[in-house]
Amino acid sequence: MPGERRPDAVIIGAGATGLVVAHELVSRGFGVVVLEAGDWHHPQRDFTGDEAQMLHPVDGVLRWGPIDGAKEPWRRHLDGISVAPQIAGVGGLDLVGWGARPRAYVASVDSSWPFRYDELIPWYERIEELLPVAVPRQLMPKDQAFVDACESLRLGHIEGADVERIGWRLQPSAILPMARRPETQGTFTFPAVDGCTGCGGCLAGCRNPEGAPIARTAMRNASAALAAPTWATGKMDLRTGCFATELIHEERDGVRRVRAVLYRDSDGSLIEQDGETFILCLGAVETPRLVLSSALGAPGRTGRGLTCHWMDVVSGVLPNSIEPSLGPVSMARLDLPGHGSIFPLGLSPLISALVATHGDPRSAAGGPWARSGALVGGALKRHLEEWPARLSLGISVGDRARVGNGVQLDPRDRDEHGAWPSIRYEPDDDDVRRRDWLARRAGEILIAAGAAPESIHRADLLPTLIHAHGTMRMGRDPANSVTDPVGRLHGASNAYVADASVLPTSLGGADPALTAQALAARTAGAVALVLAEGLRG
Amino acid sequence: MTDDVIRAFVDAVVPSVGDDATAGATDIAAERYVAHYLGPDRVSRLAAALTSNGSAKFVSSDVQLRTKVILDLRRDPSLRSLIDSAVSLAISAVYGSWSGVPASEMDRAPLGWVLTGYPGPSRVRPEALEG
Repeated sequence: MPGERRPDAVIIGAGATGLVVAHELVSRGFGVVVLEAGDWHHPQRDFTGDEAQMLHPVDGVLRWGPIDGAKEPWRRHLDGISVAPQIAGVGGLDLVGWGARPRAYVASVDSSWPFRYDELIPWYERIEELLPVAVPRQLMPKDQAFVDACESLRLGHIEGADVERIGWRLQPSAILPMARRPETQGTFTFPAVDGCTGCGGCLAGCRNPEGAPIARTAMRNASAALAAPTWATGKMDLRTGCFATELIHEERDGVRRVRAVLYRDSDGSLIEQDGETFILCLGAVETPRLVLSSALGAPGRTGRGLTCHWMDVVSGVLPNSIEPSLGPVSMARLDLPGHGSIFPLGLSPLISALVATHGDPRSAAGGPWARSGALVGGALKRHLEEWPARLSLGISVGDRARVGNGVQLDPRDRDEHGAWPSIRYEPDDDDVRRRDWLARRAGEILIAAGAAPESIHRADLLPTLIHAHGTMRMGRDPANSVTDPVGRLHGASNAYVADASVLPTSLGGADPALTAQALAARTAGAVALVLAEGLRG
Repeated sequence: MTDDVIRAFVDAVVPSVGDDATAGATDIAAERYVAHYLGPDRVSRLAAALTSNGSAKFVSSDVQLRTKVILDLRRDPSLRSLIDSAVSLAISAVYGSWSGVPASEMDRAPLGWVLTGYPGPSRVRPEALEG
């Protein structure tokens, strides 16, 4: 804490994984400083439930930019990528996801990670207990339509959490169970309503139930599930408005150590924060930015190997309304190890329209869809007028890491924090084939659900970084990895990475949050052992 | 003239006329929203790109032709980001909460919600609760 001995750990980034590390270290009695570039929002006060107001990249509540809304947002160069969402604030991108928390596909880990899937299980269980993670007790119409279609196609049902074959299952989610209807008519506030309220507004940031304290927010994002209880211990020094610009390091007796992190606070002052260990949790874009800006890590490998699941959406109009905005955004999934995953999505008209207009301009017909690629004009308007009955299916591809994809420092453009990150992504032929295969399966599911064939549209989205991983990959050999099997940066004895950037694969296409958080808990355990050894002298 | 071009652009993205008789982007002056967030430099670049074959042509063309111009320009990697930003802003104006009406008339639902039957954000959907 300020004025006392230097902290055991300085955690940079208060997103989904940084707050896991903070929670785990504090629970073991260590003192931590957490540096976060954004603010700590209170959902009851700050969240409006309106996607345009919350997510606008220039002046949205959850934009990627300074806390002072009068200042310009932070810029990044994108090459081959249409959208790279980032959020400044406690909770980070975890604030606006649909809460899916599946485990990685077993084969994706066992094939090339530096340890076996079985070793991850205790850490998965730790996070699943902590948030908590559960499957829904009942499905909304859009999800039931999806499950019924999977059943009619005899795709098999997976009961457990470990995926080794094709099958559908209920979506493991970091969302509280659906609240019970209150006994008193018209009283829909906390504590009469405690749990998910079915509002469908997950993507705008959960603020429900109305009147709930942060720790009882229905979506168990890192702010609700981790920051609030860890803050309550009084052992976490969480500083907002702090943008980390450089790690100060030195070599002594042949060992390189990080001595301090340099950060710029909201007043623009540069401040040095020292510590025993430094844990980087800034995410797949900003962690390599910081490491490269610090002349640390191997320049030929740091930032390289970006994977992003190259997401897509295929949609079709069912015979009856499915009320896309009713209930959590996604309550079921179909896992297809070897290819990726498919899942129903309850998208608002705004998000549906943005999806429909951001397709690849080179998109060509040739599957079970009447149209593919970007729609504008009358076609877009008709597409949206069908919204109440349009079932959207998200696709997540198990894309492969390529050295040409990743994050580097832009040689020309800089701001007050240093060089902009420049992010590049281009899929390879294998990814194209896998994605096309998944899109065809999604089209078949829509037909099985009763979709009119002439209504089926494949967005064929340009790559987005809704998921982003792999830029600081783990491995035993420093020649082809950036961090070691517990996340320690090769070549820096007291610096660790604990976010999705360490993932050696894209998990087969499963959502990365649970695995990133499990690895963060594992890394925190390793750091705790080192700190304990140090205290014992 | 630039104002006319941007108005013709948003009308092409979410039309008010043509096959579809329901209201569209120009009915809520979405061009003002687009121009505000793009800024003068990008508005000029967008207008220049849209009218590279002559300004009168783009403004006076029917919706289908203007739509084709927009989709063709997206194929140019040097213009795609600008076009996508402008389209996204037009979309946000119509299907997001910005309704372009004076504050005194803000009791109307946003246009895009009326067009789609979207109930808007809520704190609770009672029909989803258990029991």
